[in-house]
Amino acid sequence: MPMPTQQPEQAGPSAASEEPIHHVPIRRKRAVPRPVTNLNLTAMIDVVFLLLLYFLLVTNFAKDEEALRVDLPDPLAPAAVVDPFVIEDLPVVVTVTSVGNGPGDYRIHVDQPAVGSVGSFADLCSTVQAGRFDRGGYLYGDEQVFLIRAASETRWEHTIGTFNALVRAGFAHVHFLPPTEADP
Amino acid sequence: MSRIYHKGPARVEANLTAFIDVTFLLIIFFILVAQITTAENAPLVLPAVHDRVSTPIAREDRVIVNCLPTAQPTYSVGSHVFAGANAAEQLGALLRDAQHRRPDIEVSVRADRTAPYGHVHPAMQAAAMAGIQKVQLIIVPPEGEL
Repeated sequence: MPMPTQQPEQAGPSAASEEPIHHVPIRRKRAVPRPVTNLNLTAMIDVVFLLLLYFLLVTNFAKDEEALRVDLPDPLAPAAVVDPFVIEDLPVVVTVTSVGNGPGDYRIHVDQPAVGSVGSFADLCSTVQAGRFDRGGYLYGDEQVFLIRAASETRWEHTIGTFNALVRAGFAHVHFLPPTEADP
Repeated sequence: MSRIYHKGPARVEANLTAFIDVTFLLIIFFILVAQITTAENAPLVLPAVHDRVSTPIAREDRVIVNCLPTAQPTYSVGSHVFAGANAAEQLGALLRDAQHRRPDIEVSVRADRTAPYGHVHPAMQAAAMAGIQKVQLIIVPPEGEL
């Protein structure tokens, strides 16, 4: 196939003083191989993938963690003015004791004769919930204060399970007492 | 042999530029996340609570206090580790300093499920004495329960 010959550019009168354009035929241009600069990225990609795998395996996301919120009392706040004509509800002390090393090895006792000992966190929740005035019970109002008492050696999972059960029953004033020396 | 250019076999090359860009972004992400996670969260077995009334963790302006399951009270906050009889006092001083710098700061107490209550309560008490009223007790959902 005959190649079209390149037409010389139309030079205006002002271009006459510039350098002459050298005509290079296309066949000659193609004959000269153009240098190609290629960066070999194979090794770098290998290392990058190794790093990626390492961090994928090592990274420990704490995505499953959740929080139980506690509002601690302000130790510097002034004492509240007590109305002498208001009979305040006595706080209910809930004692939790670890009797073993398993998640279910615990005992719970509520210091009220109407409640006494309960078998599990679910029982504690349902029992105190049934005692609420708004649930037809006769023991607890909305502002009832619960105090969790535990020994120093009580496992944390048992203590926080008790806290969760009381909060789940709908009570907002649940506090932790300082640890006792021996199992109460 | 390429029938078009008669210059030899056609070379097929994948343009890996975007691929490498994304891979590097992933690496940078994992580097940053891994450092944050290891610095703040100690490897603990957190208590798994059934029928929990928990909320998602508020991540802004909080100090994570890890309560380790050791014989002596041991608390770690970032790279600081307080152990021994005065651990609670040292933790309290750190929390007071943090509360002075950011008054609305919160404390997340991460305690191992086997940690004795006698070690966890002083951490909460230290937060209260430092003037921090908002405390999060960190738990995990039980296996198979989301």
